[in-house]
Amino acid sequence: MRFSITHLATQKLGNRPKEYEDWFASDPPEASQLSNLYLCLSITDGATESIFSSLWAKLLAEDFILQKSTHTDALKAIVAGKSEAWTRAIESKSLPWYAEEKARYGAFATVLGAYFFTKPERGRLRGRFRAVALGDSCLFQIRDGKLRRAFPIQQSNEFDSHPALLSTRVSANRNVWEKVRHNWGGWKAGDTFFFATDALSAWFLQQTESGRSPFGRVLELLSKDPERSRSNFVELVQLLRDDQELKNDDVTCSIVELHDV
Amino acid sequence: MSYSAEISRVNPSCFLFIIDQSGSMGDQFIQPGFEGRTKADFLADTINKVLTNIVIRSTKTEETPWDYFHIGVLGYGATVGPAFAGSLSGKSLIPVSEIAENPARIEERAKKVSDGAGGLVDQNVKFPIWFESVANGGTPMTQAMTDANGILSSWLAESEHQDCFPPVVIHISDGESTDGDPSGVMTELGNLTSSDGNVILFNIHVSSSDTGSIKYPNSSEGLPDQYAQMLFDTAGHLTPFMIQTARNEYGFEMSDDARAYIFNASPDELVAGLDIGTRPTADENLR
Repeated sequence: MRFSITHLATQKLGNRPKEYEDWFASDPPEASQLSNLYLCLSITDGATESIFSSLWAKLLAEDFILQKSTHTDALKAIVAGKSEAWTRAIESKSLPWYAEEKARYGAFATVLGAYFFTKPERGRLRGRFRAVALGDSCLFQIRDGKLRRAFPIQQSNEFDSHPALLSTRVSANRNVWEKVRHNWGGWKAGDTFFFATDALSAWFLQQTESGRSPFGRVLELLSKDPERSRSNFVELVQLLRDDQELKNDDVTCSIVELHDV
Repeated sequence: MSYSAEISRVNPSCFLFIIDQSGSMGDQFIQPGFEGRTKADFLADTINKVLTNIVIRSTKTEETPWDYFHIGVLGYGATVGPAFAGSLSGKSLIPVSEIAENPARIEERAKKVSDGAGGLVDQNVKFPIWFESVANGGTPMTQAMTDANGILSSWLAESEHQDCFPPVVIHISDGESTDGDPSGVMTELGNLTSSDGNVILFNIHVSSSDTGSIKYPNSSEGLPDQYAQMLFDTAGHLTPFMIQTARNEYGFEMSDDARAYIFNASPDELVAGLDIGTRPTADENLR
């Protein structure tokens, strides 16, 4: 497979960069024109109401690309292992009373992960992918400039303020597993996949529903210089916030351009 | 649309609690489960829990909590004035971070929590105290409301507060004013505004008897006397999120134009009212 990966991110307006609570990870890491047998990618969105959400989002995203499995059982094992890691990290800190009490509630995050690979079928290599999602971070497949697939949310009016979330507390996850969603399919050379947390995902769908081309607009921001791509992205996000097209939230967008099987 | 402003560190909102500390607050509840506890003791515990919850909701990391809110507690009884204890004594409206860092003391209390397997276990939790139980003197409600008016007018006049999510004033009392008719100044309090709407005055009348309450009415029909009428007339309207919380989490039925008002509140209804009143918008809107 030959592909390019770009990670774009910016924090909520009014927050400092270190207060960003989304996370992204990929194996291989971000680069242009890579050749590899596979690509594994994840984005997570830490809940703003919980404490140490960014740590939880980081632990989930990074372990997903280590495990490289989209099965629900694999996600359960990630949560079990990483919730212990989260708890150990918190317990090692000397916390003021309010942080100690808040930590009892645990941290929460959405998860979206995908694994891209190729498979020989009828004498040719075919591009395939599998994805898993809990919550409202979304994957979009674009072919010839058109939206071919949106997962797990298909319409902008489906976003609300109560997505399903994975918790560091076992008791809070009891009913969440039935909300895990899976998707799989094929890809061709020239396809582009976007992975976005909820604010940008909602914008992508709203714009598409209005007949516009939001994915092309974001692709135009990309430059050979990754720092230039990021600053272009931050400018676009600011413009969309000023025009009230985009909710004020952390924004993460990972872009996979698939050049060849 | 009113009551839609984002609450953030650069655009904080405000809670002001106005607490009756008159001698009659030393009466004990007779409601089952609360016998033997005085209204003042129960109210002090409840206010301290509410302040703890606001601090915890504003906590994001181990750093000091985010100043989503400025908070004040005004007591009226033998004296009228700010009622924080300890190093916050005398301060009228202060940011959450300062409250978090300065409880008068921290107690350890047992709390029942889920064991993750369907049962409950006792867990020691920290219980910070900022507000002490007091029951002494008359009921100078008019003076208290006048002071509240001054505090909030000044706060709203500051340029960084003019677009705030409107302040919520939660007034808890068990009886009538002893320093004249406070209705005029209470109406003025409810007429204070930010660009996002009117200050919400939430009147909670607590009762130590078991006579049944009137909760969140949209009309004065059925109110027993002029005092109840006055509290209704000066009460603001609940925000849509408050109504949603009251219906979904507490099962209270009410119309969409329900008032922020409870008459003859039981201890449980007082606790519910304070929870509803201090969640004027979803926590997802705390940016």
